[in-house]
Amino acid sequence: MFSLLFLVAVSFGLPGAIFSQEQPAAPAASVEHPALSFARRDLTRWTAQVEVSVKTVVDRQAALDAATKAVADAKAAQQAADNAVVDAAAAITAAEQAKAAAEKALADAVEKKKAADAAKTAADAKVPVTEQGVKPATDAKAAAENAAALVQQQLKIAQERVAAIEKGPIKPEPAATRLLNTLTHDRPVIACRFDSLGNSLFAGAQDNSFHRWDIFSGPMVHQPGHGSWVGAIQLLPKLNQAVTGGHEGKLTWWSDLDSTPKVVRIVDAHKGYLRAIAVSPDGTLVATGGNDSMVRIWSAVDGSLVKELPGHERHVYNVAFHPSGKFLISGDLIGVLKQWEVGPWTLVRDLDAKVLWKFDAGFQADVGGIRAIDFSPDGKLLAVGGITEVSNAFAGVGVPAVVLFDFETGKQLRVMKPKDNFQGSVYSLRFHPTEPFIVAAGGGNGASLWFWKFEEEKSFADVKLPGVAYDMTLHPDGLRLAVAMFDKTLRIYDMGPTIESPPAPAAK
Amino acid sequence: MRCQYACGSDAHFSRRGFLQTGAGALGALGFSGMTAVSGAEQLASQQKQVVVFWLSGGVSQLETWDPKPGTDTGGPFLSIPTSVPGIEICELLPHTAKQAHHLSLVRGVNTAEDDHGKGAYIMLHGHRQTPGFEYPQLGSAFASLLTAPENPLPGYIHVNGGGSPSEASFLGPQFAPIGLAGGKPPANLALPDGITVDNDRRRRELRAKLSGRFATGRRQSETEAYNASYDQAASLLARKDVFDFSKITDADRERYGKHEFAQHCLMARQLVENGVTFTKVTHTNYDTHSENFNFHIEQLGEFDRPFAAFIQDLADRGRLAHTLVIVMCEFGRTPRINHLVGRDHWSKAWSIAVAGCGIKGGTVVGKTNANGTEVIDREVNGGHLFHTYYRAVGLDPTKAFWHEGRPFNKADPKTDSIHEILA
Repeated sequence: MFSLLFLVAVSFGLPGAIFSQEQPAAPAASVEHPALSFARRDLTRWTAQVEVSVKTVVDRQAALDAATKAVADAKAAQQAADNAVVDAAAAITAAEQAKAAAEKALADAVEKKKAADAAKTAADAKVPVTEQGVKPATDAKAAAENAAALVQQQLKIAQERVAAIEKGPIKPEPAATRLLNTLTHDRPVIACRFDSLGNSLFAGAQDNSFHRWDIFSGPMVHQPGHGSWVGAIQLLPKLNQAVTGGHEGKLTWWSDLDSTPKVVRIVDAHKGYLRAIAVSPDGTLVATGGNDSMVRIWSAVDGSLVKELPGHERHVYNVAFHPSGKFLISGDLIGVLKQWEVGPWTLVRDLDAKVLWKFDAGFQADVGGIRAIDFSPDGKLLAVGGITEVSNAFAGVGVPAVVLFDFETGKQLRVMKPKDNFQGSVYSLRFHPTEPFIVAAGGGNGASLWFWKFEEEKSFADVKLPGVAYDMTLHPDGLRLAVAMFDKTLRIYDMGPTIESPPAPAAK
Repeated sequence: MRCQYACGSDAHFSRRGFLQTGAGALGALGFSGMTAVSGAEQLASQQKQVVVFWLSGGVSQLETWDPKPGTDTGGPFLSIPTSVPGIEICELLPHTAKQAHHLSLVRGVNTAEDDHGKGAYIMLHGHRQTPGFEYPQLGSAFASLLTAPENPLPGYIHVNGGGSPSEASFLGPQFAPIGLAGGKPPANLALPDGITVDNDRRRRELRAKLSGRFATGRRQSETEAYNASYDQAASLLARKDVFDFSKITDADRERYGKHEFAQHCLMARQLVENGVTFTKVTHTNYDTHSENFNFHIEQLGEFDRPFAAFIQDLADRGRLAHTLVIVMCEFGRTPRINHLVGRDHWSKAWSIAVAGCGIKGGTVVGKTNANGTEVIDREVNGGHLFHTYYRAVGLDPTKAFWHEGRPFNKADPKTDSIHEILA
């Protein structure tokens, strides 16, 4: 940089400076004109300067060329960029077109998939629907086959029974008691009675209806007629009617027992449970007992109140007419039996069955009561059933028992218990109409039918049941009985002489 | 054994303070525990009180507060209307139904505990049992928190039941229950033969003087508890009239009933009227695995009339407004009816009833499904109930008890009060 500035200064500088710094040398032999020296110097300098200027021009040209090229290059780049922009825009356009096409294709594909899915769903749904149609049909066919087998079996049993009886009288054989038929319901069944011809089985359950099964054709008829569980049933054969008692306290008369029972009348009979019903032997009176500790007598014909019998201090659990029709017995929670004279309705005496009751001090509650009652057909014996020897009231731990009385003397003859260890209660008992034994049904830590001879304390036959039996009824043929059970069934058992036959199938 | 006091509890200090000063004060006042009598009577009209009816064994919710008539689980009983339109309860409670406007029914209780002991623990302590530690029972807790220092009476009395010091846990034995076994007054309320009132006063003065001297240099929790027991006994003797149930009128006995539970309800009424903070009345037994319906007829037949009369009397006398009444037990009973026509233990969906102080009467909270097998709305557990009890009597359940430098929750902090039924 310094030399360049110096050069410029020399080229365009002040003469004084030139003289002071570059004084020309004096001529040696001859003195050359100073102008010549100056001219030569000038020549030299200009020559040099020409070279410089030429070089400068060359440089400038080169610079111009470079600038020109740069412009050209920039323009070229600009053009290239323009071209690239155009190309990119074109590419975008092309890509957008491609995208739109692809999206449309996708949407089309999704729609097709949906349609395919819907078609599959419909197809999937159709299979179980059709299968559902098969199952009831299959079940119905199986039920029909079952019913047909049952009918065949019952026919065979009937034929054999006829053949056996034609050979001579037959008697029940309690130890051979076996299941004949099972009728199912959707609630536990708590009461049952055969009609006088043994065609139908009437029942009450843990619902508010009166139920009738035709034991030959099977279908069950349910008729509402109560506000609570129906726990008591008796037949009025002379009127072709039935009476039922509900836990809401109402007493209901039913007609049309051969088809669909119809309500004849409903009477508010008791405050609280109506627990028991008895019909006088002549069929004119209905006796009831309930949680209001009252016994009431009703006209079987018109339902009018005949008499109210106060006297019990606790809930009345059972009532029974003496076969003579002269007396009525009522029994309560604390094991008190009251004998009433029919007609004047005076209290004759009390009988003591307190062995069937206990006040459990631990639980502060009474347990037991007269859960079952019946007279022997000749009226000489009275039997009541329930639970005794209670060790845990609220778990139902005790021993099932039947207390047998000589009715004439009122003397307690014996307390009858199962021959095998059993914890529970008797809930129902019947004297056999022709043979000298008592049959009872009940349950607790199992369930059983028990058979006692009058003179023995231990049962002579125990027949296990598959569920607790809350009630029992004897068929008018004296060979069959039915039990109302916790497991939502009514089961019919055969006490007749053994007949070889296959196990009874269940029927609805 | 050293007493385990609830250090840090305001109420505890308050009560202890009373007892500490009481020993000297009684001497100075001639040890006439009677000085507190008039104050106690005044307190009775202001104090928040609690009465628990404990239906031992587990009453059936279906036969009481949440009937399901006509269903497969409903049993034979009907539901009946109550004094509150739209609210029905089981027909076994006809008298109680007339008091429904005072009651709040909590129908969504799920305590998830079907064992008697563990279920009772939850309901009486608000927590599940913790190994190695005892929470104070509800009675002891309320006795410690609600009993005014001037109140000479025991804070917690259990009618027809026993009482264990362990119920008070770290709150101290002065808050343990006094049991009126068989509904009888505490034993030895009368002076021994040969001891005159004056003799008795003088020997107490001497004992208080000696104890005071001893305590000046060696006071500790044992001596405090020892002195406190004497002070309590003296105060109790001064109010032995509270336990004289012979003055209950024949008319009241007729109205309540003549059986034991009815008499116990009358006793509870008398205890409330005399200012006892917490009274528990046990009615037994509802553990009806067999013949549930027969036994509920019998047991609820006893419960219904005197309980309803008790509520009515408290309301008529203006006491219900400051007396919280709770009807509870360890759990409910199974909706399923078993083969013995019984119901078993069921804690998954059951009910309690509350009334009185801080409670919005005539209300129902919580709902079970059609046959009562599960809670479908506003499920609550023991924690919720305890929060509610505390709030009802104006206490903050989130303020913990302190014991040996550690906080112990009065109610489960993961739960809250049932605000819908709080007044």
